[in-house]
Amino acid sequence: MRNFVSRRGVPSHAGPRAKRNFARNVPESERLGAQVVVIGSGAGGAPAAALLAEAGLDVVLLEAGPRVSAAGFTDHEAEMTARLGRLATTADGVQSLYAGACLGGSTTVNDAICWRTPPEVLETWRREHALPELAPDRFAPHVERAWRDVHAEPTPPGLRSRNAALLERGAQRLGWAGGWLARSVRGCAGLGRCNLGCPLDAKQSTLVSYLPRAERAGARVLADTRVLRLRVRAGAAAGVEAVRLDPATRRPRRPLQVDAPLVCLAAGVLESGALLQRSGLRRAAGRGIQLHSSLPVAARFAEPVHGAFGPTMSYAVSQFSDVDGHAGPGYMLENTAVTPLLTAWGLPDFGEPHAEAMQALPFLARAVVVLRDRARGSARAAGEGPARIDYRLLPEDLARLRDGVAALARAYLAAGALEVFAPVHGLGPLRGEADVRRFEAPPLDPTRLAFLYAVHLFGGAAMGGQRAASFCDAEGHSWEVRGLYVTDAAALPGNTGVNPQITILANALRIAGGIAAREGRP
Amino acid sequence: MRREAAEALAALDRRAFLRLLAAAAASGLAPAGCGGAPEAYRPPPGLVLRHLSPRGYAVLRAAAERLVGGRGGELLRAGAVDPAPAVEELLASSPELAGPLGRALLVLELGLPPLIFKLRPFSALAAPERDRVLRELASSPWALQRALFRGVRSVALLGFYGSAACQPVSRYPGLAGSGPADALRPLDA
Repeated sequence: MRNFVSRRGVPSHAGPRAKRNFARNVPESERLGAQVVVIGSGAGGAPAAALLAEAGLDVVLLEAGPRVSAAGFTDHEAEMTARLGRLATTADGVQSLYAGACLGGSTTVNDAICWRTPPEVLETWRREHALPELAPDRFAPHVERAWRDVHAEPTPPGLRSRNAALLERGAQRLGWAGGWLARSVRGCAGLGRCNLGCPLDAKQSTLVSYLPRAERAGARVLADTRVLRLRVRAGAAAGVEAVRLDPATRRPRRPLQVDAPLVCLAAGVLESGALLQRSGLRRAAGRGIQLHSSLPVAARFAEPVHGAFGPTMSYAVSQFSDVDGHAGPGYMLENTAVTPLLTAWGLPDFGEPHAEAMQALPFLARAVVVLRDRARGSARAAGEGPARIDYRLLPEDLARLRDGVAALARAYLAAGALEVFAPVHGLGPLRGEADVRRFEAPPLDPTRLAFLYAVHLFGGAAMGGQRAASFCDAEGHSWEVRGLYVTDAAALPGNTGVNPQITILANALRIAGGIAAREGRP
Repeated sequence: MRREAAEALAALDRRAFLRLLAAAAASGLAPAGCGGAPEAYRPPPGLVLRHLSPRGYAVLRAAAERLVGGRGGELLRAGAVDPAPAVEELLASSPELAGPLGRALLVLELGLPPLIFKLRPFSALAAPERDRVLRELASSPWALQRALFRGVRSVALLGFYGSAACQPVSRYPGLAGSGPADALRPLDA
């Protein structure tokens, strides 16, 4: 990449240098002009691109990942995990982080779960971050618009899988609150492939919702294009420097410069803060990252569950959450898919005991503790490479994760499970209340866990009402650079306590709506 | 090398561990080839490795058959399933993982007393000895050893269970199955 862009951030393809590069068989650069450049095509980027293009603005959307479509989605987990997403770890190696890295971003690989932003969360953001624009009554119209756009609807009885129903049964027997979730689908057949890309285009990811709208309205969508840094001139956004990637090798192919006075940053939490830092915008960039740390639990039943199929996620125990009217410790219990790789990662130990549990795959149910973390971390740009994510769970977070695993074990045992597999190496199966008590007695050591991960990531370029404590204002507009907006989960001041797809979509629509009102066609 | 090891182990934090690895590499303990690895684990002729070294490939296979275990382990041992293509694909999309994984496989292979003590390369050990090394790593009092175990375990499981080859073992019918109908059948009352 240094072949293309000088250390000072000056595109090396400008003027006579371009001819020299060409003479050395380096491909000539491209240069595009637009009114808006959107970086990222997931829940934060695609709605902004659609709305702004529909407002008559000339939009270029750049996505680092490949262009994918339903025809290319298979049920080979390793292939799809690598092709559609990006796997990273926290700097201490304890926690895995996974985010979509293809056209559609994380909406291509998420569970399609739709949850309205809890009013308690919005109220906290309003009060603690001085964001009156995010007060529940003011944010609600954007949520409802996103809800309609992606066709969110409750999981119908015909799509309620045995895997999810076993969690419901356990919760009901213990008297816990819970319910069937809304999902953004049209014509779901329960193939169990939400996380691997929906081969039916039933899931209303941005691939089938906002991106076609954006392209119909004239937006130019370029996949395989990685933004290296933002261009800033005299305190105002001027566009981006990017590089086109070879779709086969993912190696840089040729540079691209996009000139645009408006930039919407939606590269995802793993990248947005680091990109700002690489662009010399270090104030508040990369700070305040928060996760929903997650731990999976499996349970073996006597009857087949066939949990690899059915909607990957559709039921949640909300008894222990601290949102939507609950005053619990702050975690959800949600059923999750029983596909081979994810199950293998979550089961503890190795060798014969692990293989024996995997052979029972059709008889396994799985669910995950989704914690509303209290820890906060940071992203730091490491040269041109991926950001270093420093994040360490607090003791109180680990205690709540442990309690969540114990709660799931109790729910599955109440539902009739023969044994429960907590994701702790060396623990052994939990077959009754005594075993659960043995598990929950000592503190949880994160370095002894089989698979601690997060797919819900927040912050790194957060909104706030006070310049000193935030990267951008309530409109997502950078305090530092005119014309630079943050529209993805990086703009959110903290985690949501629920699956965040709708919140991210709604906030992107809100910010883009503001830009369109100011800059769009009258 | 010994002085470096003694210094690093005196305060065994992340930085010290990385320094130790660098010292091991610098002192020639990090061969580029596959010497010492049994023939059975060497890359087959024609296999192009873009992210794993030939030595890393051998260690991955030697570890994967023990970590996967059971019938899957037998398939891996017989060479009927190769875990490397899936791992190579992952490293292509997440290249930041290639360095740490390469170092982890190297340390597992060559040992780094007292972090890992063994007289022969990991890939040359008999199955029970490999199990012993893996068990010691998994239950080690040192977080760095447990991190090494987690990393190698994750990629080994990905190499097997992420591929279609695992379907007969895991009884996951994949696309060919009638799964959705069975999965959506209501529970018995």
